[in-house]
Amino acid sequence: MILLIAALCAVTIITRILPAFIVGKFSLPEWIITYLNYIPYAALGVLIFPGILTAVEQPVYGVFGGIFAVILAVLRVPLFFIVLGSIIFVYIIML
Amino acid sequence: MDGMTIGMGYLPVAVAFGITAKPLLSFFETVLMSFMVYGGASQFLALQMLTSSGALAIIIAVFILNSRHFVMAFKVNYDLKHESFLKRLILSSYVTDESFAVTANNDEDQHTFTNYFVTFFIAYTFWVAFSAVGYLAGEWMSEGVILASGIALYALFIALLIPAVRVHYKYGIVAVLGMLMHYVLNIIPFVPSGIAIVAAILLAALLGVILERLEVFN
Repeated sequence: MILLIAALCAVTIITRILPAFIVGKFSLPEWIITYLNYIPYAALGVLIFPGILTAVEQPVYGVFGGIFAVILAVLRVPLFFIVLGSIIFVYIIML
Repeated sequence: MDGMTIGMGYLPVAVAFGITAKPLLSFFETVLMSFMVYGGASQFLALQMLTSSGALAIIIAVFILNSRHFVMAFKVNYDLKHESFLKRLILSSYVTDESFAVTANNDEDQHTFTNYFVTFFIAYTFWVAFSAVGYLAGEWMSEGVILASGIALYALFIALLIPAVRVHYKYGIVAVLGMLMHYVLNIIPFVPSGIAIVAAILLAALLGVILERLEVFN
């Protein structure tokens, strides 16, 4: 088991540290930089959906929780309280 | 503060991991896995496969699932390209979906090693500590709270996305494209979920570049 965990550690860390060896070796063309700038937002979209449908017991609760988080974010509530508030909200609607 | 926020997002997930691991692993193995692998989805996947699959299959599946961190670590390294190789190497090994997403929104002046390290390390500590807590105390926690906590990471991702959309709607469009791509790739059978995630991110960002080139965004 410990050997398996060590192997999982190895394959996980390889993909994380590889870019450290590449970046800075050569300068990147401008379109790559534009591309890199879009990566976080594309990633957020991908991470949110469709995963949110299986976040809690029923897809509809996940969607409601998500909408509540959107409302809090639009109202400029600090990050930490958006997370906490959404947990409480979902807890209440699941009662 | 950012580290605490990610940590709060991790808390329920880490506790859930500890609870799930209990029938399968020893306490030491559970904490060791969180300590060494540090990847929520991949740790759950490993647990899930443990009873049905061989070690090699688990290793390959985890590798594919976590290969998305390459793209994220690339961006982190690019933002910190003025820092030394060793510092970037240390930070890279702590890149996760959440630590990446929080720091990717940082302003230029926040691109320092210390800033990133504090955020990444606090998040990492939460992950390892609450995996242990989940293993030890999971039985006594209210089931409702544990279930409701499933929303935490998604609330975090949404909270990170909205401010960017406020800056420019084009980021919202790229995010929605990412959602659609991921949804479509998920429907296609035999596409491993790790591949679907990476492909959806790369395609959606590429569409963003193309739309910008076509001057669709004003």
